[in-house]
Amino acid sequence: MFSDSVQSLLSTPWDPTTPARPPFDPLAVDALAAWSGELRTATAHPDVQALAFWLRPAHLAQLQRDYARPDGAPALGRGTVFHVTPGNVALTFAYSLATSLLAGNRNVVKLSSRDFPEVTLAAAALDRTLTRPEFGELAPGQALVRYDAADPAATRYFSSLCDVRVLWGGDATINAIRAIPLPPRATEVTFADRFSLAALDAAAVLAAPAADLARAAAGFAADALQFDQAACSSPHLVVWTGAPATVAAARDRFWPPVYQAAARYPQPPVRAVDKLAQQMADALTHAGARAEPGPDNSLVRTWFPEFPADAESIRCPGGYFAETALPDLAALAPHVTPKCQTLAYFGYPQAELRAFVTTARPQGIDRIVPLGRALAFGPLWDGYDLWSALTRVIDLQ
Amino acid sequence: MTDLADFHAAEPFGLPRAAKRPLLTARLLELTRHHAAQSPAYRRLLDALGVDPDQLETLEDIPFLPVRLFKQFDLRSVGEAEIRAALTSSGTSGQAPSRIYLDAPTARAQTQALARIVATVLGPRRLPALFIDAQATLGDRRAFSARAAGLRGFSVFGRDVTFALDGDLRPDWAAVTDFLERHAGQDLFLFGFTFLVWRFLEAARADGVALDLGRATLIHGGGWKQLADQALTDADFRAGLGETFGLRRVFDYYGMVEQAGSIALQCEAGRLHTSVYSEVLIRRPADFSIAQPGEAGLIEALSALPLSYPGHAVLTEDRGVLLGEDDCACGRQGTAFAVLGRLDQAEVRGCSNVL
Repeated sequence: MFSDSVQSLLSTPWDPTTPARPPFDPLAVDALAAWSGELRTATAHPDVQALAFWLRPAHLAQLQRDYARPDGAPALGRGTVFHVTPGNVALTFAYSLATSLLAGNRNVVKLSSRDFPEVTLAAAALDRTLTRPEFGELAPGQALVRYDAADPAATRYFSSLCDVRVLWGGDATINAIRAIPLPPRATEVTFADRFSLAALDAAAVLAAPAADLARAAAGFAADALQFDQAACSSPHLVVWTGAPATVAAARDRFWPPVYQAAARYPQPPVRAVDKLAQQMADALTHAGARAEPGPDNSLVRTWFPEFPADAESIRCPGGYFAETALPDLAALAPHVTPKCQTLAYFGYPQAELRAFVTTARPQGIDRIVPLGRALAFGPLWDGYDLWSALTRVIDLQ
Repeated sequence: MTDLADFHAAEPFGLPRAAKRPLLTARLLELTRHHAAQSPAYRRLLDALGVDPDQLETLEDIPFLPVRLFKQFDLRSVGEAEIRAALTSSGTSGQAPSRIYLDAPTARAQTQALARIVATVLGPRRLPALFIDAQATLGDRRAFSARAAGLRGFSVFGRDVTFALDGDLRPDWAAVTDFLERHAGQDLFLFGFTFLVWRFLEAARADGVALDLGRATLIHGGGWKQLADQALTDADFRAGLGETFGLRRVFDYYGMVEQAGSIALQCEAGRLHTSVYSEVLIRRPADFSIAQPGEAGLIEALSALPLSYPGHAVLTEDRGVLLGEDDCACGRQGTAFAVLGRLDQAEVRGCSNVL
């Protein structure tokens, strides 16, 4: 089926005639739950365990409840979904595949050429799952492939036979792949490079019980550091809202537990130099920028007295944060560009967050989640409703 | 600004800590104030760090600039009219080069310091010099590459400077044997970058060329990264030179374009020593605190020389370890240390690195 330059990681040959299924078809749900079981026993790797947890039956059931169409219209997967998955967060491919499988599709998933051990583990676990006799109907519809990205022939081939192309990647990569044509009826979902930030209500930080604050701080550390601050959803900018004195006191209360939590994410030594160099570069290019003292180099923070106009390009892997203050959340909206993806927050009531979207009307921000949830993948992602993007809804009268 | 007379008057490796530390500290604190006054960019960095240059007391207190900052920004403490030369270093492949601006006093101080350091192993006279490099490397006079700057800097310590390699960096055996015949029976000065010296040795072995370099002193530097795939150690390097050429006087040096002149030089015991002109501090990556002797960390390099650019205290991306102070078997005073290699450049991951 595939040319010699394409390496396939699943043992069942791919068959493009495997029929699409309705969303949450029991066979697909069972297969994902079985994959979860295989992953749980495979390794203690935290990212793999997080995937196993995401695929557990209770979560799949919750996704199904959220999906339920109020109109009751029947639906099927769109057909073949060709996923081009990224190299920054190893297991993104699995979430992309699982969502599409739940939606009822055949899948061809191009993995990054970067050799992550957790990808190998997850792929092997998926193969063990799909080769079980009970999933024999599902297996030929799924393919995990690797091939030389410099050779567009395979991308051209998979693009020519897909119904939806899902692209995860940097802007240059996405533009390059978008130049490769799709069949006339095929659609495309692109997850381009994004920028993410956090906002904290200073008064709420000061008022929070210690346990809540510790949980929020640990969540923030996970959001930022779990993928070395390289995920599109990892925050780089921390916006404080409130009066200056309140903000100062809240920062003194918030950061110590974040430093404590950061100890769980060891970093290579070069990151200390990376972050110092970034901080000094920021000081040289932003009037009044100030290095914030900290107990160690696990986090490096720079205070900007004015909201930096180039906030989206102030980023450095490994726990580097730009901090600034605004009077309130609404004041953030004019600074938000379409490149902003996730706003991780602490301390704002739902009504204020809703008003931020509908009244302040930021140009960007597709996800607004509590601290600690920035990396949690869901079917609402990057402004798309993936159930709608990955299914074909039939108008039955 | 005081001059460097006290430094030039001292034996380069002759001052114990009790004499060297106060001298160097006074000079470096003075340099910190000088750059704060003369370089708006440096001043801005001190302000951002909350550092008052008048309140600093020790070498360890002086803010250190990551060397890569010199790749991103033009940092200098003199007006454009006073710049005599700009040193550039390509650094890691793919990165912008460092740009180091030298005025006449800084360039002169570098030459003087290097002369005094090098004389400790070459002696006071200029020796016939064989450079294990190609004439072509010198290239353009104004834009110095790190290798060209090294060749140029060391060429003043030799006479009849002869290049051992052709334009393709392969040995020119005729030129080498002519040189050795011209200076038969004399002490010689050999200079070259470590990886080129090793390739020269391998070529001699492969071509069956026998050279007697028993009267030569080799100074080499530039690091081992081009030889990393061979896992060559300093001991292997020295042993190979001894066996192949009878070359026993071999001195590695540690230096960087950001602090040209004030190099650290290896001793007979194989340890790098800082001279009176420089110091190294080993800092822990976790919090930049000072590591214990024997504990590996990041090398911070301090130099008494840079007047025209704020490079008197820089944080390198090299790993190193302090081996001792004032206690080396070779008799040299000062800090003895080893360079353990460059920091692993962790991949910068990001959505833009998809394929």
